Amino acid sequence: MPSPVAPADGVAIRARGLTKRYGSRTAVDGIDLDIPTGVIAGFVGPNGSGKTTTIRMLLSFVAPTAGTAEVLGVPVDRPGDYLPRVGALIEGPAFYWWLSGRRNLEILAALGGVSAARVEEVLAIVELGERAEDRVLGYSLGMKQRLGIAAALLPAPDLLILDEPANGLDPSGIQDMRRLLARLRDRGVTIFISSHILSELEQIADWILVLKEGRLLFHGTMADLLVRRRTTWMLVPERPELLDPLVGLLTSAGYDASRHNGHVRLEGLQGRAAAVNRLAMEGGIVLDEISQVRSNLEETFLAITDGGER
Amino acid sequence: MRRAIVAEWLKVRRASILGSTAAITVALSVSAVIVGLHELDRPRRKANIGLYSQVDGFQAILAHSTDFLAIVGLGFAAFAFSTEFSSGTLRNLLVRQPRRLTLFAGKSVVVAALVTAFVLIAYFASYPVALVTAPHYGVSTALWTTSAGVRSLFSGGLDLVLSTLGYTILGAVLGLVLRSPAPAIVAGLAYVFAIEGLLTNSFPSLTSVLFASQLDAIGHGGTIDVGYRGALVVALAWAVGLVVVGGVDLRRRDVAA
Repeated sequence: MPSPVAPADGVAIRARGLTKRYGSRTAVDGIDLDIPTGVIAGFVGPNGSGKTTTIRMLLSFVAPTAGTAEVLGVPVDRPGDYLPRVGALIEGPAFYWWLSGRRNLEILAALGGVSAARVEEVLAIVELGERAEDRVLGYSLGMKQRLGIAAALLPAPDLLILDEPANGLDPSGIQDMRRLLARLRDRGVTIFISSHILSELEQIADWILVLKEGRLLFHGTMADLLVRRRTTWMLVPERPELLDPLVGLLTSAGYDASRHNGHVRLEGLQGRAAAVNRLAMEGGIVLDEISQVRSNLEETFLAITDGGER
Repeated sequence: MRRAIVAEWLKVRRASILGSTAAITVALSVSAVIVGLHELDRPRRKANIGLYSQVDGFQAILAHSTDFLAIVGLGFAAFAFSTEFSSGTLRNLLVRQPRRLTLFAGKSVVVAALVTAFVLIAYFASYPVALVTAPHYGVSTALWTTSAGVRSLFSGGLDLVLSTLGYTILGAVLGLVLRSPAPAIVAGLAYVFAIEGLLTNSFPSLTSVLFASQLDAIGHGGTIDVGYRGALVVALAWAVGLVVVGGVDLRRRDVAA
């Protein structure tokens, strides 16, 4: 069984100048990253941003063109020394369709020197025990995804790398997976998870990496990222015919205000709601509602990737 | 490598897979016997009856099956090796066994053992068929059952196994390099049955050099153009070369599937 010992410096994944070029196209462009042990790290980026290529390099499927990377303290050119402690689900679940779910896991268990009892454990964890004898051919996408997660859990890994693990899962399956990942993190497992479902990551990730066109635009804690959320204020005057006068009043006072379906939107206001309220009152406009709308992770992600913020 | 062998065996040990492949191989071999005996109706009838009545008469009748078995060995290996890439299952395997050469060495052992078993089952299953059928075509089988005949039976079986394993190596390397079943199988069959034939027709001296010609000679226990021992040496050199090419490709090329 793999050793549960974490790397001495507490970094599960480290990369310096990691680069992959295919001919003239640069898929991953000199990324530097340090992912601490014991966190759930979300890896986000638009399609074709280089997420899967990065994961392939971390798993030693693809050799970097330049730069270095270490996984669990071991350079990626020595995969035999760290992959026994890594579980991975990459680019969707791929199994021998003519074999049962259990047999597919038994093959991987035999290959990795994992006990047969562990196969039953992981089948129970992903709640596939009752369908384990069925051929994978008859599995839904969600069941295949759960089987993929079971395969990744086989070695009781120190690091779990999951590429879009929520694909095909129904809402309760997603909730189950979220609970499972949180449990694993609490046991000290580092989880590196690539996903397009940003609302999911917002709920579970402690650490976040944003990749675009092969470059790392953001790399840090989720809290650091959320600090960058844009706050918008929504003002509703008591009388709807005062919407335009309210916009005029605020604009002349230097605010970034605009009219939107029955309310006035105010951008970039930082804790000055009272001043705005007073200004409106002095202009003879009574405000019926002042509310704050914070951008979610998706909007923050889009702001970062559109603006190229680092 | 033991783990890789066990994992591969778990994958293929389904009765339906093994049974259907064995049945196809036996059917092809029995067909080869029937085709061989039917040839007796042709103009060289007397000569062939004489040939088939020798101690190695069974092998002479079964000579047609080398082509069938070439297809089985090449196709089976090309499919088994390339499907791991094209279906994406290699990703799972490489996470659990990152040493690619070890992984595929284990797979090679199982594929080679199965091909050997299929060939021997087909060979020894078609023997009683030939023994019963041949006298109806005027072929005497008396010499087949003598001690020399039995020795010849076993050495013929070994030759057929060696020949088919050669085609299996070709299929496996094409599967590794092309990484997709259809191109690998088509390329292998095109080379064995078309390209090499064209080359040896144009340049007869190549008969003693090219791979499929050597395998054909081994399967027949040697031919007029290519001696048995020479064919073994040249085929072995080809096999080593192919394994080195496949191994280097496997080790160095990115796995992007």
